[in-house]
Amino acid sequence: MLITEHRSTIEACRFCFMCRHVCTAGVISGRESDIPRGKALILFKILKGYAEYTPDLVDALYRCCLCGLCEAWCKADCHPPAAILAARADLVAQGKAPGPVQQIKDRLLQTGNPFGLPPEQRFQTLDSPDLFRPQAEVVYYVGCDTAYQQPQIAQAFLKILAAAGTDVTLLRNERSTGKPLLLLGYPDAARAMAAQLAAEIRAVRPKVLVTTCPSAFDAFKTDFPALGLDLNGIEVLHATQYVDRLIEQGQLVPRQQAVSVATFLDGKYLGRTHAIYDEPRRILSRIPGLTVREMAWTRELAYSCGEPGGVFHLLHPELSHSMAARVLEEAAQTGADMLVTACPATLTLLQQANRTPLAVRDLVQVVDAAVAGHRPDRTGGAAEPS
Amino acid sequence: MPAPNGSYQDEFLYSELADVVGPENVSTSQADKIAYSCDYFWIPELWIDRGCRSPEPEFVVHPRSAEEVSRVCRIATNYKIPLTVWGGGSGSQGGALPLRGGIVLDTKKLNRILEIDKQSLTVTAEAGIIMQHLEWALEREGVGTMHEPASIGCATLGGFLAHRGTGVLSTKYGKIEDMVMSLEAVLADGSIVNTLAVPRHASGPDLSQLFLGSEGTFGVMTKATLKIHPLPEVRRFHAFVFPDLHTGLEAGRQLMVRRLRPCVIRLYDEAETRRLIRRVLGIEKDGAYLVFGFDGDRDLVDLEMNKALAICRSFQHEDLGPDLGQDWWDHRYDFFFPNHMFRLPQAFGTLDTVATFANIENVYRAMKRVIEEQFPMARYIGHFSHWYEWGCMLYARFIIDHPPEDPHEAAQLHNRVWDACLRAAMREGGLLNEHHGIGLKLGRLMRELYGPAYGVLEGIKKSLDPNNILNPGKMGFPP
Repeated sequence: MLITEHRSTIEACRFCFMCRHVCTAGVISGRESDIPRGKALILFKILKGYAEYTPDLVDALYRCCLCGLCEAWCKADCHPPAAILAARADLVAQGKAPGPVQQIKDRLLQTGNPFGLPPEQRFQTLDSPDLFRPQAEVVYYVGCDTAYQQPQIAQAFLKILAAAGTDVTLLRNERSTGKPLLLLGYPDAARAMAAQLAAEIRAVRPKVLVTTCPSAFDAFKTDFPALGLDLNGIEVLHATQYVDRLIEQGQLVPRQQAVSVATFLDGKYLGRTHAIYDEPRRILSRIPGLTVREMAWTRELAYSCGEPGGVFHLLHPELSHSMAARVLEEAAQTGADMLVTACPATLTLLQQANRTPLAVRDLVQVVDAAVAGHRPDRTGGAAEPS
Repeated sequence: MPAPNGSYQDEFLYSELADVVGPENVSTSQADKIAYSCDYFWIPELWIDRGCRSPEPEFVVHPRSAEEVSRVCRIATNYKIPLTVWGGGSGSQGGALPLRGGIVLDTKKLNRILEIDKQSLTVTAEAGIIMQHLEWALEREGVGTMHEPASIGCATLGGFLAHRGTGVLSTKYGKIEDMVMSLEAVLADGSIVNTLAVPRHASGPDLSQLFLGSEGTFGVMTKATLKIHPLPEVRRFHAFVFPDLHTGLEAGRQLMVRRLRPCVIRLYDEAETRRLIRRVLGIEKDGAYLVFGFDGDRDLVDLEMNKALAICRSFQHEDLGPDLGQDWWDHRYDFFFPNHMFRLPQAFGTLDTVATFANIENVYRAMKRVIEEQFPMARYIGHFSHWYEWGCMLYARFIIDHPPEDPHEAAQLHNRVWDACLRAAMREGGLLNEHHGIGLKLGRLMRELYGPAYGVLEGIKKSLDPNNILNPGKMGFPP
């Protein structure tokens, strides 16, 4: 059992309530089985052989969005998300995955995305003359949520890259990084999918691999090495880091006046996992006329919409909707008129839940709007307004 | 939501409950049954640890309004099904355990803040709100209840009301029962009653105080109006080490009887100073660590702080200065994370009690003597954390590092320690409990504490809950 490696977390959390008020799912549902203590009680019983993975207990173990706010709050170095992930792998190995989990897994294996949409539709809305090239300095990994749900993010990022004169290509056979499979408890299938993607990336021999998706970013940075997959020293960047660098180097100049007050939503992978907090704020602060205002919950303690891996909301759409609504309420309290995220799955959730006057944008869309009309000549003159 | 696994009779009850609160707010999941079978009491934790069978609810309901609570109470009364109220479930006395199964009514969806009255400085909120959420919302408005216990993130407003809870700032701002203006409760028959709007009146007994501390046995509290306060301009701390507990107690007493208004006084005995203060704050000192603080307007704080410093310096002391007082404040909740808390396989309990200044040291020493003479396998530590004009609270603890492996033997030893210590405390003028409540843990000692007056409580219980459906088996009432 993989959960035996998480005994210290399980034994500490089973009788501890100290993170209940920050648990994203628990605060929404009020259910005791939703907070880390509830999960740890289950896992302790499994660990000791007092219980088996019955359907009820299995369902509870998938009612966690793995946002990691509990471990950010913890003063005892406990890691409930890792214990839950281990449990999912254990129960999948026992053939006890719930039907909806298996469906998402099947869709990923068949189509390369968790939505089950045809692979040929992945990039069909992207409008660029030269998306796929055999070799390039930069590979832009678009990711499933961006490609199928938020193609305008990819469009905006491609325009930014063009404005900066970046030598970039997409992967013609791009598919999921395998992270959703890992989060659902299928490490072997995740590795196979990731290995295929790694080979495609290596074939382009890029210097940089950049993505607009924080989950994919974490897959390349954390999962691939853990799964023994080598990217041959290719530098992995999130779009936020890449854009920050372009602006820093003067290759991108946001000049377009944006009379707006923005608040930025940090996330699990970009924020709590990789501590990329300053880059998005630095980018926003360099857009003329744009003021940044912080939410009460920010940086490592930021709220979550349940986005990690882009699969929680497919399993629990109502819970996820409520989580997003809570983020929007929090953002509205800042007095901002725009809520900015750097995660396509989060953007989808926020857009679906938004009943506030807030505009909701991905960071690259905000940057693209600020750059539009002021692109350097090498892109072929002024671009159209976004 | 899966259907219940019991008899087909349960299907009808499930339908009735789902009709009231919606199917998404009724759970029969095994995951919830496990989670609601254990609170923060050592005995159910032991039972979980050893794989023993714990009482579990048949249904967990999450009502969203007093009206829904009322309808659930009517169902419970109609079928004579036990109904146990659950807020955060973080109580240490077994007060929220569903001893006879039945319905657990989780209040956490009653979590709205209904009104912040900045003119009168009051807040009205539903009882299921997590206290930290209420406090954060108030702080955004520049005010606070100042109810700041270690369980602030774990427990609900209703939980504090039900157990007459306290927070670290109680010495100035009071316990929860001092903060309440009025409250709303749902009775077993479904009636929704409100107590009078203000607590200072001569219009009969104060019904708010009847429900406060009733631990879900008299009714389900659904709403309360509390006093709030402007956030202080400054809050300052100072720490001392005194050569022994007796000197520290006298210094603390002087702060109170001189009628200074500290927001905090906390005095640790020699054993706790050696162990916990060293582990959490990194201070290696022999003696009794005392920290106190004042808050409010800067000039008033300075004035009171100087008077307090003069009092403390009149005793033999080591002055640790403000930083080692501030450190305590900054880490005040760290003590309760698992890396610092006592935990299984240890057996432990918080023998918290309260008495007058004339008696409190005798209470401390009497319990210490019981542990040392009767339970050589146990350790005894304590601190004095809530101070009043007339006395203070003792947060004593016993710890047994190697209790019996057999859970029944361990439970019996645990109960013997409690009985012996609390009887010794009561003989010296201490009470059974100061802010954690009675619950299942101490119910058997209620008659000894109250004497004939316990009959008054029994009469009230019979009148308000003739079928004994509300949290049976707690506070000494029959299971």
